[in-house]
Amino acid sequence: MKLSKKIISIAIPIIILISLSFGFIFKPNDPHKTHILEKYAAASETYPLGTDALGRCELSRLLEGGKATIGIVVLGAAIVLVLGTALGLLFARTNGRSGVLSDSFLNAITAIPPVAYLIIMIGIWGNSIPTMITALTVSLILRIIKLVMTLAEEEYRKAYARCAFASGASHFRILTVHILPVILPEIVQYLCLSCSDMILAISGFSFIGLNLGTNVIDWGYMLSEARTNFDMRPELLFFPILLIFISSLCFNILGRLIKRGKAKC
Amino acid sequence: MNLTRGTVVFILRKILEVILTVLIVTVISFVLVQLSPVDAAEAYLQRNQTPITAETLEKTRCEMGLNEPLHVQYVNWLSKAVTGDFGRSFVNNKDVLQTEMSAFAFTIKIILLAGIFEAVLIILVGSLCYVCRNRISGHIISALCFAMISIPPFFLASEYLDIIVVKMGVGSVVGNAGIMRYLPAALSFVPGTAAFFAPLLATNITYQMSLDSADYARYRGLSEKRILFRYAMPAALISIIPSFFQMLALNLAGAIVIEQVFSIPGLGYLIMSGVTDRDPPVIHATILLLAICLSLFNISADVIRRIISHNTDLSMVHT
Repeated sequence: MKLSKKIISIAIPIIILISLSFGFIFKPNDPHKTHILEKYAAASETYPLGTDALGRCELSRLLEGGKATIGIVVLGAAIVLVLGTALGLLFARTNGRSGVLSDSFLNAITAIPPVAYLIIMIGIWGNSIPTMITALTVSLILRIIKLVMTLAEEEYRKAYARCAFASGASHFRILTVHILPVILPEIVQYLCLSCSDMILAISGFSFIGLNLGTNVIDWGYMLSEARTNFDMRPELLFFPILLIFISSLCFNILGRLIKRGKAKC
Repeated sequence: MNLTRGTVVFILRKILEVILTVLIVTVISFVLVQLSPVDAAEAYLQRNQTPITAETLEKTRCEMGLNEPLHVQYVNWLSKAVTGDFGRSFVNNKDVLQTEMSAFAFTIKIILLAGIFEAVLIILVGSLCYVCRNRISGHIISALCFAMISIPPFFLASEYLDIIVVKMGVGSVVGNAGIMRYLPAALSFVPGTAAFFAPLLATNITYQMSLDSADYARYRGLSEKRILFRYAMPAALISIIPSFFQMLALNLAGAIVIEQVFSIPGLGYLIMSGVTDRDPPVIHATILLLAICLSLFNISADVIRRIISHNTDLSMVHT
């Protein structure tokens, strides 16, 4: 009973996020197609949420925007999860020695928050989907490597890892079979919270004009468009910010639930 | 506090880390500018409406020092930067250091102002969360805090401009003097940060109040209120100071977006204009300054954390 409740509370945010990122499949109209005569149309059967300043279907644009915003974040996080965890386990010093120099090096790199790396890279290269994914991956992966190393080194000193070692398990087996499942929730939790931050950051960049590309729709860009036409249909501002809020909140909730789940074990 | 060997090593390591951070980040900025699709020399010629030929391009590149290999450029830049010479902007030929300093003054004011408001709000809401912790109102407050984290600061900032300034005519969009110039920008960070830390503070207070030391204070006949404000609150506050400093660093990064919304000529404005104008001296100097500030915030968090962990025994006796 308790377990199923937990599964449901984790499943709801995941379902919301999946439907926001794959909703574009069901978009009713072409999000790029303009109908000058039908601008600022109210909600109707053809346009379930009405149209924007250029007569484009608002719902289709929202769904298309979800693909870009959440897609980038999730793809980046997935790359970081796989690559960062692998590298972190690889670099984890399990022989008990501590490298002052490599520690300082890692500390130095991670002294800058991921969002700042994102700003530096997007700032210099300009924004586009591949740049954003690269920037996101690079800025997060260093933190994850550091996190995985710290956690793995801590676990390696614990009794169960020593016992596994004594019973003949190889170094590789201890790290992957015994330690990885223990530290995985914490890694996923960190990534979920980062995803939430990144959604806000990506929307922020698009909002101030560093949009993801000429033909890419994302929520931050829609927000800045709606803002310029604020007097005509204020609710156009409401839809994208609501979706930004919901998706960021879902990641936050996931992060919190995973942490709690771990505490119970 | 007399300096033990451990403290000296710690200080040395932290200094080394700041230097390393700055070196790494500036190298990144050089590599990124080099890999950037737009050539700075080409952009310079376009700006001055000089015909772009192989000859003029080569000449400009020589003048800008862009014809050297990347590592030579970097070492040249670094050796000058150490003496405070960041060169002149390719756009307006102004001294970059001066431009940076005036922009930095704007940004740091926003951050510090935001920090003060955040600290006050965290204490207020955190105490409120603690007092109402077992009531429905307490659950509502912590749910609201949780939701507040997901509201982007840039949205609050733009809504302030659109609704309060434009619609209601309070304040003005530009042309504010004095503190009003920074206050709205600073305030847009405050709800998110305060919402993040207030429940944390409440949890820490609850923990402090459940400690044996709090029980002893109760046996001494001290009132709950006195224990809370005299002992539990300071201890709980101290324990969140390191993360608060890290949050200030995050605010600094976030300020770049907010400055654009309010058109404040801070570091964010500099980095954006440097990028659109392809002005490497400005880009490198801004990123250097950002890296120094961010790592200093981060290191002060580490230092405070160390001081706290060294004084824990002391505070136990004191309580």
